[in-house]
Amino acid sequence: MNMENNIQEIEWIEHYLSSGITPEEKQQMEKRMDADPELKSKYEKHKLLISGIRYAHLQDKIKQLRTLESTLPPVEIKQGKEIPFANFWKPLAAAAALALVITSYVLINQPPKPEELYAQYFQPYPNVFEPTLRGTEDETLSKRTLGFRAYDQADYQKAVFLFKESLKEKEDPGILLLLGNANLVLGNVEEAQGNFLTLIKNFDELDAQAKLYLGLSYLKQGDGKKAKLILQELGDPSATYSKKAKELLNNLK
Amino acid sequence: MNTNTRLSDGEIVQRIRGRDPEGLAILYETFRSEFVHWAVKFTRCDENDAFDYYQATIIIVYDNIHAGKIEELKSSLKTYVFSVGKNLAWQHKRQKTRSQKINAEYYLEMHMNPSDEQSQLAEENNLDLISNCFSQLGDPCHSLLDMFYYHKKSMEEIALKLNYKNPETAKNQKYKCMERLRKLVEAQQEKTTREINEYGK
Repeated sequence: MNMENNIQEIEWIEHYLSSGITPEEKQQMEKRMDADPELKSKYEKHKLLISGIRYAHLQDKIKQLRTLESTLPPVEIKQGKEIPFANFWKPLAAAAALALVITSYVLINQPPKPEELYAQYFQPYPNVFEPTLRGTEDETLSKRTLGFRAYDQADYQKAVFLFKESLKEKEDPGILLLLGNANLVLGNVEEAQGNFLTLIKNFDELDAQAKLYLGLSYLKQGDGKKAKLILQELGDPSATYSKKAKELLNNLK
Repeated sequence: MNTNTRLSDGEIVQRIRGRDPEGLAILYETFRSEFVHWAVKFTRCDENDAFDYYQATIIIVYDNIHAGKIEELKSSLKTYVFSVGKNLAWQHKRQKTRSQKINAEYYLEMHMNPSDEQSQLAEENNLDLISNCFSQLGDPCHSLLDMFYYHKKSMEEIALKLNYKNPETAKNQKYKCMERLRKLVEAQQEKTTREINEYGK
């Protein structure tokens, strides 16, 4: 199709998407799309591109709000009786709460007993990436899925083996996080640290979780200093849950 | 921004509609404290999640004002902001089983895809992908497409602003920019498909 015809079709599509279209024109365009699947497909793709452009604009605005937020005075939330977390907030919110509790223990309590803290606060991160489904035969499942299944069944030895096999094929942030957790349970602390560091280095996502568990791994080794350093990173303004961590660190000055 | 005097609802809406660069910040600061308190109590989330929640709410209200969906406020702006927030909470609760992303962008994607869950899942990834490709376009394409598709500027306004000879030239340039974006997106999608196929081997 030449450029003029293509422009013409795009103009029809944009007119169809606009509020200025008359019912007759709308009907005509719908007939045209019914008769021409290529035009229909072009319409779907064009609509999605426009949504993507609008989405990009709004993403920029969210970034602006985050920058603005970092300049505003904190909102004082009344401290009173504990507000329970709703289930759907749990995994991350619990991780953040745990990070704060540990940070405060590490920073405030003296002398810190890192290994005790680890024992008290370590809980394997839940498999929120690919929860086990019932009724599927093992033979038909990939190593990745079997790894998640083993993790869900607390068979960490098997999970470590399967996750490692899966990672040979492709790096995956969720697997790295759970592999590190499984290694921690099994006492392979240095290996777990390697998993968390790879996750932090190679991926943008799950950064806060990786740092939290890396901090826990240092506690397990009795290295409160390193744990403190890494947990303090959760107070970085660009990090998730920075606000509470920042407040805490300010209170400690 | 001077927060000592609170602007009226109409003034805030007018500022946003009139593309005042401070409009968004004024809207954000006006209900911030009250909303965060409310969100912590209503959704039982922690303070940080409440801020993500609030930011998404404000962006949706801002987007609706831009899109002309709030021509005349039937209630106060505050009621409107809180009802958007409440709606987000319901949507999130309904879809909690599949949510891993709990941030402002998550709510934004829900706002962009109000259709059924299945198509939302497919489109969420696409929106991120298109947004990434769009940011790679650079100017003048980035500004031109943003002005046309987000700000709904006419070709006359765009030609004037971006120094094109006439609206027709601007229109041709817009077409070329959209083609570039489409090709970038397709190349990225092919790359992802290849990676998935290789991963499955």
